[in-house]
Amino acid sequence: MKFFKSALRVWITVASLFGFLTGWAVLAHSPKPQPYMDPSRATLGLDPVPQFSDLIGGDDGLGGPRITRTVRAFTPRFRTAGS
Amino acid sequence: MEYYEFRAMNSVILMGAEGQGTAAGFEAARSFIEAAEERFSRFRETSELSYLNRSAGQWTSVSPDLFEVLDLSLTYYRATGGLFAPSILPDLQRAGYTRSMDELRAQGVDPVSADHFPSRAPAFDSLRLDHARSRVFLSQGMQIDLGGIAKGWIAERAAEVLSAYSTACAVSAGGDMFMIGHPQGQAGWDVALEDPRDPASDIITLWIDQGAVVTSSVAKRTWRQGNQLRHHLIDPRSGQPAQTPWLSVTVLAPHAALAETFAKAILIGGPRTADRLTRENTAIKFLAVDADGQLWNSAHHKEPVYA
Repeated sequence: MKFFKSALRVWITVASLFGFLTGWAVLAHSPKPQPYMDPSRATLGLDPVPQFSDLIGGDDGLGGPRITRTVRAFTPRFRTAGS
Repeated sequence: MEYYEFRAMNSVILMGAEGQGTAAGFEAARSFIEAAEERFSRFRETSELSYLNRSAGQWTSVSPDLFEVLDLSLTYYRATGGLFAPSILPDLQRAGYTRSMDELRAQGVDPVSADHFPSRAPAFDSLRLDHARSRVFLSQGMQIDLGGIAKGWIAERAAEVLSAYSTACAVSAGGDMFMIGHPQGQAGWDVALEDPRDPASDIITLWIDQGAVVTSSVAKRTWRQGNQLRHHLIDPRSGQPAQTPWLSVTVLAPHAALAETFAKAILIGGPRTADRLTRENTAIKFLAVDADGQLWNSAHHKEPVYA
């Protein structure tokens, strides 16, 4: 029984080591991942995030900044077509 | 300019207004339009017009609004020499226009025999009006459709409602438009005229001072009856969809009901009618579009005025 336990430990150790080395070898020889975009364009041309100061329209006299916004209203066109 | 859009009268209603109370004005104008649709629609069994049509052959008391539109209809029937005639309803139904255009497009023509409708209805000027008691007498067999004139009249009245809340406003009911005042910093209103050959594009932009702009078109409300393409502009002389050299006629006039009825009459009657009506009624101007996309106007209707 004791011999059987020792043999099982050795078998598990050898099998684990073999699996680890096999995995290592396979990954070492696999193709390298390609960049998903042209390296020359790797830096995205995002617009700068607006500064908070850009949003401040002025002081409302109450001690705090007043944030104003520009409303770009939907402008439908009057159109005559026949009814 | 603030805008408000919704659907009524089987059309897109677009309102624009400037001023402090536009939100309340839009709601008031919308309420008016929806109430007026309930009154004037021939497609609603419960409408006042449907009740009047069922009461042909007897004197019937009607609301001041319906009385006014019928009175205007009689005036313009005479002014257009009968080319505008609301009594063509049986002809319209015989051509297949028995339900609203939305339903017609979705479900097709009703399979009702044309013989179901009277072949020749009484002339519209047999209509009698009792101004003192706001009563109407439709001759036996007369059936009325106030579709176009009612839509123009409603657009003008809705603009008047909206003007109480705004400094400048415009109401468009499916292209029947009425404008009051001018947008801030402008001397008029831009109104695009749709190309009747291609609804996705405009053929010209009109610069309107104030008042009404209305277009009648044979290309807009069309359907198939058997293998025939039908449209909703009935020529009262033949009882059939009108044969006309123009695809659409746009009329500018001080009032929307006037513009609506004259646009219809000019489109049905063609160039000679246009010549006569514009000479007799100097307050109106028209612009017609033919099948080649040429524009024709009041003064030089024999020559295209825009390429």
